[in-house]
Amino acid sequence: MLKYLKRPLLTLRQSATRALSNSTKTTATTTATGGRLIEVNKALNGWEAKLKDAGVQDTDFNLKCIVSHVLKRKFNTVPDDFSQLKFNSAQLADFERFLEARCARMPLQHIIGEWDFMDITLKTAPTVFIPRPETEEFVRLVIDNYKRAEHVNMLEVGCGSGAMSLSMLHALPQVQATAIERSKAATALAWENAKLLGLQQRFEVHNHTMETDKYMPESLHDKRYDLIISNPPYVKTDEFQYLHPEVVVYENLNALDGGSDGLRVARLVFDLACVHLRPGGKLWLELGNEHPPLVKTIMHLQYEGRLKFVQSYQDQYKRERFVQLEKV
Amino acid sequence: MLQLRSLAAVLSSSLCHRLASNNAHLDYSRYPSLQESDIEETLMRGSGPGGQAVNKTNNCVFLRHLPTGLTVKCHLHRLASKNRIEARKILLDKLDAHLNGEQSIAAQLKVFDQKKSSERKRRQGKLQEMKKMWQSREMSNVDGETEK
Repeated sequence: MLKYLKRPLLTLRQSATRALSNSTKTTATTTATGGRLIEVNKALNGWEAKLKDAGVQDTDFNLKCIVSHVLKRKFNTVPDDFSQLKFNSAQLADFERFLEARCARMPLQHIIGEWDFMDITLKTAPTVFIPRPETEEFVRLVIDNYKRAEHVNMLEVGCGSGAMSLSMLHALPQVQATAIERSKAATALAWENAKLLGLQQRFEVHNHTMETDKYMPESLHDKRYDLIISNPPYVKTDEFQYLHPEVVVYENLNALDGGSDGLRVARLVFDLACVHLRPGGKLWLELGNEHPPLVKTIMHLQYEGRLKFVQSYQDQYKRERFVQLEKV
Repeated sequence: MLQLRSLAAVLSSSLCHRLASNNAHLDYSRYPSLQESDIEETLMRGSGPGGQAVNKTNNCVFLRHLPTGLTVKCHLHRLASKNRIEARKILLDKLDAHLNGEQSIAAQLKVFDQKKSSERKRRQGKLQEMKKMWQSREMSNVDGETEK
């Protein structure tokens, strides 16, 4: 199935990268022709239909995001009808190449180069997993539980762009966060985001791939934490056929592939937590739709005396997806 | 339900901030409070798998206030999470206008602004008048001096 999908999608991706990398040439020629302004509403002509043909949903929102990005204005300061807004020729060229990329289903967040997560804005980078809105709900829940804690020594397993750790650090000054991440690109991006947000004093990130009996990098092998959070890959292998091009073509599937039952990586995190949580410490996980009851069973059967199932929670779309576990 | 309660907390704290920062001329005593149990919230996400499997950016939030039937749609921010808070603020203002009419904060602010602008006009008029008087006085003084 995946192989069958890949061919046409690969060409999609190539055309998107081509569209994005054309920048220097086109801007150079168009800026030379002078500073003529064109109304944004004129520049929009036909693009909505093109986006729809390419299978992009929510076209109004996509257009507004790209317009505000091109004009370097904040999204909420741009009027919905774009009245009075104008592009110069360089901006028009940017606008068209971004939309070309979007028609090739490049994620909006990659085109814009940044995205919001809770109260912070994070840089995005190709191949690094884009944080999802449900994860905001997850982090809000964790923050709510640790608001009154005095000091929290936290570990995040698989931090990606750093969204969860950095928004925790941003919200709670008493948190100290360590993160491990298997992708080099994501490790670098998380560190960059930490510096951009001025949170690098309380944050460290290590490039490390978690393996059985080598859960943590050598330098951290005897560390114990009060709290471990993780959003491990949890998409079941047979759900991969339903993934959108934005996900399959542009995101790193390592951040999604949870094996046949979606819990392959989560099991490694359970084992890691057995070693690296202090007694009474908590493990919070964001998982898929059917996972919380499954996790409860696994705790009873395999982790008796080591980890205990505390509670599960719903995301904002009323799907039971978050679990809290406790080190015994 | 839990996440809704925490949202309400966010909202009330931002409201307190507004109360504290705004001028003392406004009467907030009738300003209503929002019960999360009275709100029907619709988040656009669609069916199918959520989470990691999809990358949707729907930002639009709909609220319906069940006791009054007031509705609010908000897509001001890129994030749905921010729009959920914003939509509640808008709903509160709508509810205030609905319940309190002339006494609502918006109406009070309007009256206050009108007063301010008419006061400013009055002062400007007075200043103009004084200027004119001064000018004519100076002129007559100059006239008097040249006569000497």
